[in-house]
Amino acid sequence: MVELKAVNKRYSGHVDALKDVNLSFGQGEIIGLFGENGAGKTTLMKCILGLLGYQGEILLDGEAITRKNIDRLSFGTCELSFFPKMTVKEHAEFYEAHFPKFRKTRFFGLAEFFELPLNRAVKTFSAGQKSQVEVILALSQGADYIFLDEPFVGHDIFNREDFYKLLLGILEPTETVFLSTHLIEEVEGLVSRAVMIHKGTIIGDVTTEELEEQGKTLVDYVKELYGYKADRVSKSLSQFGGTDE
Amino acid sequence: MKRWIVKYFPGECSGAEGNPVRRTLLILCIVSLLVLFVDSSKFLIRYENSEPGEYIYDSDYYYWEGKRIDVQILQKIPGINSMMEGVFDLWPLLVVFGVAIAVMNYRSYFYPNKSIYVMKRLRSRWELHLRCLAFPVVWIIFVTGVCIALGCIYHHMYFHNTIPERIPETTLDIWRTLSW
Repeated sequence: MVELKAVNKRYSGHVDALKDVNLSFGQGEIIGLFGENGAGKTTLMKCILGLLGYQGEILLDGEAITRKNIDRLSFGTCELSFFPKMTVKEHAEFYEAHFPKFRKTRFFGLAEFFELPLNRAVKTFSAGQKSQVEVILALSQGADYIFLDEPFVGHDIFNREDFYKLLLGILEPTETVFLSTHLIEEVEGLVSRAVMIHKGTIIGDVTTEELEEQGKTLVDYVKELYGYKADRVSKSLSQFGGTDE
Repeated sequence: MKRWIVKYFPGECSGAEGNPVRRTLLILCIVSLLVLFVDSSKFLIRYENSEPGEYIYDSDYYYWEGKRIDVQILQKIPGINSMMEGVFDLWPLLVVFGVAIAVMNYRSYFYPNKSIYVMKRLRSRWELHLRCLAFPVVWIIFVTGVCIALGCIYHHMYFHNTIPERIPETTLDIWRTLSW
């Protein structure tokens, strides 16, 4: 289980990116992390992964996250963390050498699914292919907790939909995916839990089961939390003399 | 051994991405060494011009062009510090070159990609530093070794190939060899 206790993160210039965040998640969950741009989604993930300093406590199965257990966490980011000059095959060799639980079969299976050339440097790939490499590396590292930060940037709709189905099929019961994305409607069928973050604070945390019982969709829930006003567009347009069709 | 070299020395297949390719770097290193050799040959030119040992020594007398020379009037050659002055003035630049490579290696994990995120998840905290520093450290040790070897050769030439009476009272000041 990953536990965050009173986590605060302040950037220089007195910007509070995270304020008193308390969150925990265990094995086998697929958690969607939603929030507007600048809400703190990426900061939250980076703090968990130890890439940013923070105040508070973040524990993995009761222990601090150090080099000894950091390989239980993997990270796929829209900033891209692969090695641009290495080929896909060379990435597999690197990960196999450094991550004892690297899932080679899954890696090459996903590479085949995305039709990625194995012997070309990744820097020569298209933007969509690059993010595919990023995602399959995160999924194949052998981690128990897989953090994906806006992983679908550059993916076309067909690849995204197929990928969601594939993800549900390949994940093991003990694997947890922590996924941040703006594509709320698309991932509604994928996630089992939704965490909402707004200006560094967790404002909502609900399971999809609870939403079903309430008869709400994830989009409805997010709109409710954000106080989204459905008539804001028509009101703005009326000021400009237009209509909301 | 070959896998270790590929792993820790820059090139297309190494983990230190964003670096110049191995071939370009090797060319730069070879050119640097050639320039070092050429620059250090200042000593050889100076030494040759001083005509250190053209005299023939036979039964306590020196002869030059068939004429016996009184050793008291033999001119002293310039001291070793003058001979060696600035011979290795390129060494600091080559060290800076090595440091620049190390900086570029570290930078390559932050730009264009953030592969530093992967390196920070490795069990070994030294893997990143090994990949960034292996080549620069080896380079600095190598050029320093070349300078020391050349210095020893020139030192030997000066003191063993020169007529002893022509050598002034002198000891080598290493810092003078680095002066510009």
